[in-house]
Amino acid sequence: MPRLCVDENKCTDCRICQLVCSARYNGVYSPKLSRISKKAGIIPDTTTTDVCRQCSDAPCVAVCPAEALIQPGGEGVVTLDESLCTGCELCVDECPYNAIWFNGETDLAYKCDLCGGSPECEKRCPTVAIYVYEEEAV
Amino acid sequence: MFKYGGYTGNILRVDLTAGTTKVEKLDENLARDYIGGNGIAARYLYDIVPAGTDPLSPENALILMNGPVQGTRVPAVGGRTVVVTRSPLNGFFIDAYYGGHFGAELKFAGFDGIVVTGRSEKPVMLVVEDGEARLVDASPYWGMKTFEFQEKLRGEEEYHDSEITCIGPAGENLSPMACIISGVHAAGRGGVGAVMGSKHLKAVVAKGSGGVRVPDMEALEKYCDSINERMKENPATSKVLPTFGTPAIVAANNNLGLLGTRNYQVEVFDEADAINGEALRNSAFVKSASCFSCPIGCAKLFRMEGDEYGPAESVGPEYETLWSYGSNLANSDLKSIIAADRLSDELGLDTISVGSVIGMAIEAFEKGLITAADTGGIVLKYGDPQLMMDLIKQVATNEGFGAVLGAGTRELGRRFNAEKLAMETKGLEIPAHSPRGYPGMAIGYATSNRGGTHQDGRPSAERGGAVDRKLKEGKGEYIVGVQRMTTLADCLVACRFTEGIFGLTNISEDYVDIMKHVTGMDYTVEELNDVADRVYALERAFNAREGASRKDDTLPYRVLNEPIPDGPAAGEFMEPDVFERELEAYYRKRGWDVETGLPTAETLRRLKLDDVASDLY
Repeated sequence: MPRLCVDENKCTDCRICQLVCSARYNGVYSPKLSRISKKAGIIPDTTTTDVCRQCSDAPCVAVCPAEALIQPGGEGVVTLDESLCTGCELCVDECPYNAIWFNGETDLAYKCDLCGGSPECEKRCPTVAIYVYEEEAV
Repeated sequence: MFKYGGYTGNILRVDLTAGTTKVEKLDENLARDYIGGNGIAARYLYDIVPAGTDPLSPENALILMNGPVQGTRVPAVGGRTVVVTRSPLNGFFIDAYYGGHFGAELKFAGFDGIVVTGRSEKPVMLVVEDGEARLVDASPYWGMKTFEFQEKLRGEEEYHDSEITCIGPAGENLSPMACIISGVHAAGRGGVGAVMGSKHLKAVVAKGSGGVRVPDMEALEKYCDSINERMKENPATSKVLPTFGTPAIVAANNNLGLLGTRNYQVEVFDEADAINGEALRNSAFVKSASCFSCPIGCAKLFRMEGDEYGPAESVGPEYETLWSYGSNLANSDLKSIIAADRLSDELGLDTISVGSVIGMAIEAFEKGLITAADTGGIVLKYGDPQLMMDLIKQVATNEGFGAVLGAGTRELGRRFNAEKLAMETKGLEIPAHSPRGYPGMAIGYATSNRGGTHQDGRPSAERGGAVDRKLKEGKGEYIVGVQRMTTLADCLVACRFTEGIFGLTNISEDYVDIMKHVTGMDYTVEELNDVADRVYALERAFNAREGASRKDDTLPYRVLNEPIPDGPAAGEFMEPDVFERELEAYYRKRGWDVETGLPTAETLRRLKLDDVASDLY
């Protein structure tokens, strides 16, 4: 099943992934609104990335009372139907990877849906640090 | 919402004496006529700091500014910030730039810039967050080195995702060579850190959840993609800088016989191979790092085992520091240079000025102009890494011989009758691009409003062969075009590594496109030239109020009188008569008076600087 992976050794912390993400989905450049969260040390020997792992039987899907988070068959990309989202934030709390956020302006959750298969971040990452990893079904 | 894209439309005014902050609206005309960064900050400085203001007094202003492009994806531009103030090192206008992420975060926090005046009684830090600002007691952090401080602050829940701009002990101690540090990046030149220290301002902390709006996101995104494609086709931005960073320049300049060595007494360093880009890549490279929105990733984390000089782990040394703490001191001990780079960042010191003054002091010591009685018993000699480490620490204390060094090469020359050894213009130390071998760069140094900086004039076109390096005829007019480009880039707070893409020698149509895409404003190249000329003339007028004139547009004695003694560039220097000729051509091209070196009243009025014309004439 496809999901985004990050090779932190290659990541230079340029945040282009965040910029293209918020540009596409929010029409503004805003790292906080992107579906990727990044941190780096003062000495940038390490970076860390929070991004949705598209868990099988995803806990966010299970906890959503509005059935706004959708994962057919409990496998693959978890998508959000914004028309159903009530902004309860249960999914934000439930996500073990801190990869769902809440937009206070729209009162909606937001998360990575792999841009429908060809993520903007993967296309633009200058060091190919972020990429779609296709896990073979067992 | 602000009329133009890219801007927040908010400038934060801070009075540290009163302990107050106030948000004021950015004037739309200011945005149109000065764009941002260097330009808007210069206008604020000129307007609020009267002539004769002591740089370390509460009346001086410390201005942090981003521009319309910060926070966007325009490559190699997005995260930078400029600091503008009156320099305590030379008393003139100074603009010092730093990369990293702060400029973008300041934008996301809701501000195009911060203007700080006054002096707090207690150490404070300024915290800006989502359109609001507060002053927080920084007494617990006063005295801390920059990395220790930033890590401690980031460790606190409240600040864990903030970007920090701060000073270290050198700034607190008011060393005229103190810089400002953000992450591992430095606003290096002109003692800006001492101004911050004089205000008892330990740090400015930014965190924001805002975004940057542009007129047509799809169009800008496509434009950014096209710039990235051009960067991939350019060897400097696609291969050399991503692989080696700026240390690649060590070999390039040494091969030309233009690597300043032993305070520019010679310009070939026999041991350059030990400190060049290959050496660093092979023996110390850990990881690449980028500034915000930059695909190049020129910053290199280097690390070497063994801590006999202190921690040998740093993002850097950059080329300038490999010169200043390397060839300039005849020091080929790579580990010591990495450690000295780290130490300087931690203490908050400008590696260019510190390395230059140490190199000069050693030469003066060897010539008997400085003696052990002056140094507190220390014997100064080249090729002594431990001496270098000790002197860096002394400069940061701003006491004893460290204070003598920290006052700069011009002052050292005066004090010890060693003026002929001082490698400075306008009291700012010349960096690592030979003024004897790069004549255009030499005129750039002489005519820079800051003094000895390689960021107004540029060496790149001469070094890379885009123009004839050795040619002197016409280089006065040539450098006007280069300075227009750098001044405009500084208004956008763009990294110099965009110059190979957007044009080395003049303002190109790319800047028209960037302004159109990001702000929605229509400019012609001619109008952008006017913006650059306006800003440069305003800086010059600031200096003129402090007494500057043509007499200050000079070059060091060595550059004008001592040809390079040996190596591939043997015999090269700047003949005084050639220099004066090109200087006059430079003034004429700018519409400046050749007698005074200042913009004429007519030029000032043409640039919509009527008030400045009234001040000067």
